[in-house]
Amino acid sequence: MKASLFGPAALTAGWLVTVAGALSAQNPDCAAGAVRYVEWAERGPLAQSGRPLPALQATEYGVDINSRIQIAVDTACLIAYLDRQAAGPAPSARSRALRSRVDSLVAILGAVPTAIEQLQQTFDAYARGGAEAGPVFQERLQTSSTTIRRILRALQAAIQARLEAGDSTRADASRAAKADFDAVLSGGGALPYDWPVLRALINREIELTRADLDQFHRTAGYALELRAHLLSGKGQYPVGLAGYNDETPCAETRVEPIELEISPEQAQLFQQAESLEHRIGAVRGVGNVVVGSVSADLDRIRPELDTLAGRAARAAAPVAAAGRSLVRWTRGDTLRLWTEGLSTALSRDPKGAAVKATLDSLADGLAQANADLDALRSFGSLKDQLAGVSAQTAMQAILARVEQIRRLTNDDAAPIRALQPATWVARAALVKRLAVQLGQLPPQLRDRIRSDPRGPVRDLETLGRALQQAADSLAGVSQDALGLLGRVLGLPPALLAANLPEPAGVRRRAVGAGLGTEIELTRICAARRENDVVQVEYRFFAGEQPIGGWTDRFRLRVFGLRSRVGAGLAFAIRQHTDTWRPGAAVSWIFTHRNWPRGPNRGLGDAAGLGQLGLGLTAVNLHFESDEAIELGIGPSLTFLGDRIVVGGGWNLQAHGNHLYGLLSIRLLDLARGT
Amino acid sequence: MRVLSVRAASRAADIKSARAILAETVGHPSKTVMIIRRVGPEITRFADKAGTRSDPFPWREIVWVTDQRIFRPGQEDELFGAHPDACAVVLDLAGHPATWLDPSAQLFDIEDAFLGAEGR
Repeated sequence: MKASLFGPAALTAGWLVTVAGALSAQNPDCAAGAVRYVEWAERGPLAQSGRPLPALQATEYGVDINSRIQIAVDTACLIAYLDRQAAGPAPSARSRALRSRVDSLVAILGAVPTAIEQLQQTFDAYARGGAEAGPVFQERLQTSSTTIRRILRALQAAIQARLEAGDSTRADASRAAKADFDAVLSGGGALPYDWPVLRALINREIELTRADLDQFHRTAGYALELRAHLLSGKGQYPVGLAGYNDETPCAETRVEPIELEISPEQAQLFQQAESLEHRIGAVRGVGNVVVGSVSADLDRIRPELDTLAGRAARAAAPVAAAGRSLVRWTRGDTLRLWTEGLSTALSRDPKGAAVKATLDSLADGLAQANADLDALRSFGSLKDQLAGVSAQTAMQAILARVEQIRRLTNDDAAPIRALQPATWVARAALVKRLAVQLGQLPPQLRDRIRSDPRGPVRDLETLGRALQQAADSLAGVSQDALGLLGRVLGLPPALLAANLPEPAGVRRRAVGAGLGTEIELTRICAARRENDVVQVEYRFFAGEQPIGGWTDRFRLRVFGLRSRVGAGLAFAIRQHTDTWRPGAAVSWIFTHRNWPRGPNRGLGDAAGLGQLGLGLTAVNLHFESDEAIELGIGPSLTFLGDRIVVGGGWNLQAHGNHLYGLLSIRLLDLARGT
Repeated sequence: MRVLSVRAASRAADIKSARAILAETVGHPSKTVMIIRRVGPEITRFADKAGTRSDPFPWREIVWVTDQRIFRPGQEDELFGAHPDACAVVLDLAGHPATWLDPSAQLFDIEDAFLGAEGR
């Protein structure tokens, strides 16, 4: 039957090379990520084509403040990501088995080129040694046969497992799975294996197994909740996402890149500067100008700082009074362990899963409650200390206390998080939700949970009341002051964004086709300013069990040429004199920021510290008398993102010595949120 | 595939030459050998399938022993002892039995037996 001893080797060698080149892995290309963003700006070089944002996960992008961000979801890649996420707390043995089978099939598909190469080396070694082929041939044969056997067996096992999961008996499935190899093992004539058929068989099996996994996910379920919020210096606002919540988009509002008139906020700053110009005396030396400017800024925010301490003291009281019940919920892992102990009983009841999920969320949500309570008490005790001290001393005392709290709680976000009313509102809402869900359980199970002496549920009402009172006490706390504190402390938006307000009608959607949506920045129901952040949070679930997620952030920028009108206190020095006199100033400043493209995420210098501006500044001057109207106007340069304005000008009303120099420092510009 | 049989007219000579062929094949250091025993339609079908998995590889050899008298005394037990239903045994490069197959074996089983005997 064997025509020639070496014929097959010669035939195979050339053919193997051809086939090896044609083989490639059949994985979906997930390098671009499961979620892809395209920014549609209303102007700029990519206005027509859209700007695909670099594919990164849990990252920050700079986007145009008037743009629309399209969110596209690649379901196959998302499921692959979720499969990896669920690898720890696996939703079920079946899901695990399917995932493992896909992994195994993908691996053997990748091993086929290696097998071909190894087999060719075996043929070559045999051809060189003839019938007396020695140890080299034996070594090669061992290697190639081991590889090929591993591929064939893994594929056979995968096919059999799939058939067994259907209607086939084990024996029938085994026979049918092996029969699938007939074309691979007999279709090649004189060739050892029909590699293209083998590859097709592996690919078919990958597809079928993925389909099984998809079907499993659809029925047993991966699900997605998507939330978006605008985080600005003024507050945190839910953002409408079609398909994911019921927030109604507002009428379109554009932020004009070229400002021609002064905004109400800057007009207010101008008025505040005017009121200060008569109270602050002339100073000598640039150092004193800096001190005078910062002092003026601190004076301006002083009332807001005072309210922080007062509200903190009021909020801490009810939570501290409910201390005994709070401790039951927050001490170590007590709640988590107690919840785990109930898992079996809850899993037997159809409504138990929801209770378990809420208990898990509460365990997470209350884990930081003790640290927050410590922070509230600490802030509250500042109230008396701030009375009657200067603005600088008050600010120093607050910052020192913040540092102390951060060390005490070992939690950088605690000082700000504790002062956010939303933090306590969210916790109170979870407690309320749990009370409702418990009421829906069968009486026996419900009573067992409510009256368990080791459990915390019997204190539920007390706790809920205390949390709500804390939230009420903090309502109205100045978001400006909190934002300022956060920025002074260098906290990233993520820390400031703990316990965000829940968007209306959040929907959990099964992971499948059509998960895409978009964010229309111009239709967010809150004022947007440059440097605000829109945060998009992905939360994933396997059944009722959370399996992680990530958060992406979009920092709102104005790209291209832009101008803004800003106001503040400036100090001017007249030619031939050595004293700086304060006066309210208004500047019209032009800056330019390049439009991002390609891998550039568009963030550049996040705080704008490297940005230079050029424009005109008009200033109230008081060189000849305090009462006379003197207006100066002239060119100016801005540094550090308009925080420092340096310039000169011409005094329009002076009788001589018209020229003057100007310096304005606006470090704490609350209105800009920077 | 080497088909070893015994003719009535030359029984002794055929057995002698067949045993020599069998010994030479089994002891070859560069061959993976399958020995098939017995006759019948099922065995013929099996032998066809085995040939399909042997022919493309110059180092695979099949010897079909159609007459049990060809085995040296005790040799059939050495090769098939604990596998009374087996119609074939695959020997590794050292000549040791590695895998046994029955007549219902599929192409996959035969290939798996060869690869098992050749691999680690």
